[in-house]
Parts: sequence; C-alpha cells; structure tokens
Amino acid sequence: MRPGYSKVAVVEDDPPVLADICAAIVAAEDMELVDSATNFASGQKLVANGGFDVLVCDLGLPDGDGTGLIKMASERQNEIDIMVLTMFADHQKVLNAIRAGARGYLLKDQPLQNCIDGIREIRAGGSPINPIIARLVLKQLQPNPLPSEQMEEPLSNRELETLNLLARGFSYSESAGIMNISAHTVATYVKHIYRKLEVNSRAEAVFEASSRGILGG
Amino acid sequence: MVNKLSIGIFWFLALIGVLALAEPANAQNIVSNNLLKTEATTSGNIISFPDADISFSENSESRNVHWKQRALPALWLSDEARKIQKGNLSVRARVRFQGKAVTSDSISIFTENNRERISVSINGANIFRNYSDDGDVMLGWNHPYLIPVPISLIKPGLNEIEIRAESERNHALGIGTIAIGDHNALGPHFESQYFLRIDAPKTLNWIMLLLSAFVFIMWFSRRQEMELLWLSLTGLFWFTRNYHFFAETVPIESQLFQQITYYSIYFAVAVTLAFCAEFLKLCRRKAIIFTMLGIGLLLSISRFLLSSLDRNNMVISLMTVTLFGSFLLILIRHAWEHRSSESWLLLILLSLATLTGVHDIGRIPDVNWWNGAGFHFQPYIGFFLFLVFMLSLARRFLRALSLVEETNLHLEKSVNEAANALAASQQARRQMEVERALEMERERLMREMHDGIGSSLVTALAVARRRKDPASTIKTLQTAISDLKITVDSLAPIEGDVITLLANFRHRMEPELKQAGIESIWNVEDCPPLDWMDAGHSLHLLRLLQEATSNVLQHANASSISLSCKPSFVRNKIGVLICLADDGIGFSSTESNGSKGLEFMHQRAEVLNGILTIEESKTGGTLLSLWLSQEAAKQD
Repeated sequence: MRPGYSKVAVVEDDPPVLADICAAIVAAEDMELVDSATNFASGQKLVANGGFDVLVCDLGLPDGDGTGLIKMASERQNEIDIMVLTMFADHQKVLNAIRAGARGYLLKDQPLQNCIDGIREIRAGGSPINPIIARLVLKQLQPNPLPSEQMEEPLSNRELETLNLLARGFSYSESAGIMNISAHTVATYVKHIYRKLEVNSRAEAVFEASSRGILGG
Repeated sequence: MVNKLSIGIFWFLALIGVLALAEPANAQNIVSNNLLKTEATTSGNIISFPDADISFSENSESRNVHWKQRALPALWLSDEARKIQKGNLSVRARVRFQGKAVTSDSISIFTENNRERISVSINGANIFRNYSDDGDVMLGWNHPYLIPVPISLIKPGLNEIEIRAESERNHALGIGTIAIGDHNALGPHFESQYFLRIDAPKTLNWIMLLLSAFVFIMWFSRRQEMELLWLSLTGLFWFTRNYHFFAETVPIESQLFQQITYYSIYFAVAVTLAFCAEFLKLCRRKAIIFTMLGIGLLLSISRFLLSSLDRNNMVISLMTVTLFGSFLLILIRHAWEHRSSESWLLLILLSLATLTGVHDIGRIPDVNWWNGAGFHFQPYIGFFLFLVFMLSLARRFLRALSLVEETNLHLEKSVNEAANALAASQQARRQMEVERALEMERERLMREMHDGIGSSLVTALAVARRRKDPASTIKTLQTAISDLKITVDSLAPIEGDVITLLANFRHRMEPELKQAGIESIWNVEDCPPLDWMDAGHSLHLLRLLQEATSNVLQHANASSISLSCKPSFVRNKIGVLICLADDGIGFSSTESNGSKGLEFMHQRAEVLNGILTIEESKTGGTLLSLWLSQEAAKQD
C-alpha cells in the first residue's frame, strides 16, 4: 500500500449524495473507491467484505441504523477510519457514532472538496469537532464526578486543555497557538479523545451490564 | 451530782420518818420508800423515779398486796407474770413523792415504755387510761404519755402514783419510766418523744404504703420491671413491720398481729435485698434473690422453732443482721468492680440500716444493752430505704425518658431527612421525566429534520450542483440548510452556556466567512451561565447573530469580524455582554437595506430581555452589542 493512499467505502441511501461523494473520491488521486452501499443489508455485506481503510457511513438508512454498521466495521477492523456522513453534525448523532467507533464526521452539504480534505485529515490522524460536541465530551470524560482511576482511559492534561479550548470556541489553529503546538497535533488530540470516549463508554456499558447481571462477573 | 444525791438521801430519810409516823400499820408490809431523782429545769422541777414498788397481785383492793422494790424501767416482767398469773398478764407499779416537791400549779405525769395497756392513778384516783374498753387490746409500749394531774389530788404530804399495766398472755409486760413534774418542764421531752416515736414514723410509713401501692400499680402495667415489684413489696413489708411502732390498738386478732409483726421483718429484709440485686442488675441476681427469700423463710421457721422452745430471739436478730452483712459483701464487690455510684449509695444505705438494726436490737427489752437514742430507728430505716430506692429508680426512669426523648428527636430528624431526600428524589425524578420528554421531543424533531426536510434539501443541493444550476439556487438551498443547522444547534443541551452557543455559531459560519475572505477574531472571557436560556431563547440569540453576520457578509465589505463575550454589569445587575464588531464601511450605509432585519433583531433582543445597541464603532465599522441579564428573561 502506498503511504497516504486511501481505499474508501461509502454507505449512503440518497443516490444523488452518494453519487457526488463517490465521484469526488474517484476524482481524488490519492483515493480509491472500494465499494458503496445504499442500505443497511448491502452495507453489512460491504463491511464483511472489507478491503477498505476508510468507511464513510450515513446513519439514517431505510432498513436500519448506520451506527450498527459502524460498530461492526470497528470491531472487525480496528485500524480503519470511520466517518459519519451527517447533515447537521448534531451532538447526539455524532457522539453515538463515535461511541460505536467513528472518528470523524462529514457534512452532507459541505463542498465536496472539503469532504475529500476531511478524509485526508482523518487518514493523517486528525479528527474534526465542534464546540457543542467538545463541551459534551468534556462533560462525560472530565475526571469528576467519576474519579479518574475508575475511568478506563482518562484524558491526559493536554487533551483536557485542548478540549477546553475547543469547547470555548477557539479554532484548531488558535488552540494550537495558545498551547504552543501545531494545529495537526490538536487534531490528533481530538482523535485520541474520540478513541477514549469509545473505550470508556464501552467499559461503562460492560460495567452497567455486569451490574445488572447480564454478564456473569 | 453530789447535791442531787444528798437531796435524794435527805428525801429518802425524810420519807422513812414520815411513813413510820403516819402509817405504822402498813409499815411492816410495805417496802420502804422509793428513790427520787429531782431535776430542776428552768421551766420547773421534774421528779423521776429510779425504782418503784412492783406487784403482780391482780386485786388492787387487797391489803395484802405483795410489793417488791424494783429498778425502773422494768421492761421485762412477762416471764415472772406468766409464772404467777393465769390468763392475761398484769402488773402494778407504785412510786411515792412528797407533795412539797412539786411546786407548780400545773403538774403532769410522764410515762413511757409501758407494756401494753395502762391505767394511771394518783392517791387512788384514776386519772388516765390508754384504753376505753376493757376488751381493747392496746399497743402502749412505744407510746409516751403526758398525763395532767388535777392539782386538787396532790396532797401536801406523801403522794402515791400507781401504774397498772396489762397485756395479753403472749405479749410482753413491763413498766417503763415514770416521772412527775411541772407540765412545762415535761412537755418538750414528751413532744419530741411523741414526734420521734409516733408522729414521724406514722406519717412516713403511711406515705410509704401509699407509694408502694402506686409502685405496685406501675409494676402491674409493666410486669417485666421486677424492680417495681420488689420496691412495692419492700414498702409493704416494712409498713407491716413498722405498724406496731405507731399504732395505738391492735387492728386484728392480737396473736396473729403479733406473729405478722415478728415475721414480716425477715421478708422486709429479704425483699429489700432482692430490690438491690435487681436494681444493680447483679450477675446471677435471680439466684441471689431466691437465696434472700429462702433465708427470709428460713429465719421465720427458725424463729418459730426457737420461740416455741421459749428461747431468746436475739439469735434471730443476729441472723438477720448477718444476712444483711453477707449481702453487703456482695454489694461491696459489685461496687468495687463496676465503680458505680449507685452501688456505693446502696452500700452506704444498707450499712447504715445494719447499724441501726444493731442499735434497735440493743433496745429490745430482753436484750437491753442500751437505751440508745431513746427510740427505735427501725420505723425510719424502712422508709428511708424505700425512699432512696424509689428515688434511684425514678432517676433511672427519668434518664430513660430523656433517652427516649433524644431518640425520638433523632428519629424525627432522620424521618425529616428521609422525607426531604424522598421529596428531592421525587423532584429530581419529575425533572428527569420532563427532561426525558423534552429529549424525546427533540429527537423526534431531529429525525423529522434529518429524514424529511433536511434530507430533501441536501438531495436538492446535490442535484443542483450536479446540474450546475444557477448560483442563486445553490445559495438559497445552502441558506436553508444553514437555517436548519442553527435550529438544530439551538436545541443542544448547553445549560445556558452562551460561550458554547456563540462558539458553535462561529464554527458554523467559519466556512462562509472564510469564503468571503473575512477573518473571524475570537475574544471570549469566562461568563456566568444564563440558566433561563432554553432552546427558544437560544434560537432567538442565534438568529439575531445570524442576521448581524449576514449583514456583515452582504453589505459591510469587511475584512474581519470580531466576536467577543464577557461578563458585564448594567444597572448593578450582572449579565453577559456579547459584541459583534466589523471593520467594514459602517452602520449608516447598511441601514437602508437592513431595516426589516434590524426590526427583527430588536424584537428578538426584547424577547431575550436584552439591551441591543447597533452603532458605528470608533474605527469605522459597525458595533453590535447585546447585553443579557443573568436573571430570568421573559418567556417566549
């Protein structure tokens, strides 16, 4: 595999939107469209077949929830990057997807070039975030009320600082300036934060399940 | 002393002379005159008689009465009387004195310790009987009597006082002390003796009986409190025992009364000790109590056997004291081990009781070691034991009551806390239900926007782009989507955090501003949350800012836009000041185009209860300031 070269699969039920994204991917020289699907059932097959580095996945599929596909893909291949294709990047949908294993989101109305840039960014190790999501993640991953020892993977101080700045509306480059790091590092921090959110929410789910007696021990 | 003795001897000699002259017929039959002891007090003379002529002859009329001189008091005459007499016992005592010896006009005879029924005569004239009917069985032994003597009966020469004492055959017979003198001189002694022997014991013992009944009723309603039973029995037995100290007549059949009086002391002692054992919660107290009662019974039987053998009952008395003493040893051990003040108190009290018991034994006529304090302590000690027991118990009960009160207070507090916690949790639950309902509603709306209008708009945008539709079409579609995005953002749960709302607004507008070549400058300080801000308010604020930003984008020809937010006071009220400043061509030039938009902005500011000003900044651009109070805004 060439470095910086991405194999992309897309799941999207709206044909015009799907066509646009697919066309943009095909047009990009550092990307290859591996597969695409328009519903949950064919999406499952797509995930099972594998062979992609990036999965761009819509959530509101006619026959199911895209979150399920994200979870499957994340569990099957740990090293791939999953992006949610969302209309508004509203916190509920994005956070659910991140907990399922997504690492970023693309806005459906975004200029296509921005979408391609988004995919490149995530391949380079950085994730997007908006202030509302930053605020909510901060609330969930902050050391209190849970003592940090009880958290599977607590945020590092740098990550916490980053999240604080982002929640207060500073852009990646502004935050980077304040923290005296590069904007790209800020983006990678965000990706790490997403991973920790997934790990911790999975641990939380296991804890909840075991405390309810679903899992033995 | 010498003086008195010489007076005594003088009178003695004088009497011999007088008697020898006056009544030569009786002289051979009568033992010579008794001794006199004259005591001069400030109130007058008192003549007391250290000895008397005693006779067991039943017929006082007989001239052949056999008088025998005996020392007074002669408390134990029953044995002699029983030998001589059949049936009930009687004895007569005679003392003589010279009429000259009494100087006052009001003369009284004082006599005490006579057993049991007495009649007193002077010079043959009966002046006093302590009974009214011949059938009466009296209890005279502990009663002092002060008998006024009509002055007319006193002869200038030799006078004779005769006391006749009678008692049941099984009772004691004896003559106590006799004195004659000035009423005022004898009075105080009589008063104190009467008080100490009769009045005080009577009052205290009746009180004790009453309290015992009260305690018994208490026990009856709380049977598990055995201390109450032992206490009431202590009172009852001591009362039974003490009754003969102050009663004048025997209330029931005299033989039975005597036996009850005798035996009740053992049970009084036994229940007293049982109370102590129960009260102090001595270990193995059941065994101790049974032993005490057993010993009480044993003592009764012993007494019965010994008295039927006609033996001295001192043995029993000493046995009783021994019983007390052995219990004291148990008590000392308990007090020592537990170091409780109650144990020490009871220990001191019981030791005192033992001492007074010994004192009283010494006063028994057939023991007669001493006269002691001049009266028996026993009728007191029963009462004091009872009183101290009751007070100890009452103290314990009061402490228990305070404890209950404390516990109640504590419980009440706990209940209140629990109630408050419950109310709080119910409130929290209601709050959660409301939030849940809101969240569900929000989700429904979101789904609607995603799947319905939003989806259609995005599809339309995609189609328009592919078809290369006019820019205005694409622009309109993009604006519609932007509007939707702002609506979605207004629904985010930001808990009144204006900064997050502004930040997200900036984030949304960033691509457009970038496209227009306008730099956005971000300048925020920490602000207090505006708790009143709900989704509706958020939307108004975002729309206001959107309007302002789109004005800048369309008309201002600006190269930068600065968004700032900081805490600020207006009219002493804390609030948040949001400023949007651009470096464009200024407010006046945009006015004509944006009048409709401005009107909407002011309306929105009014809904937010905010203060909106739009003015030209010093640097030439437009400055929009919106101040929002931290206090609740008007409901939308």
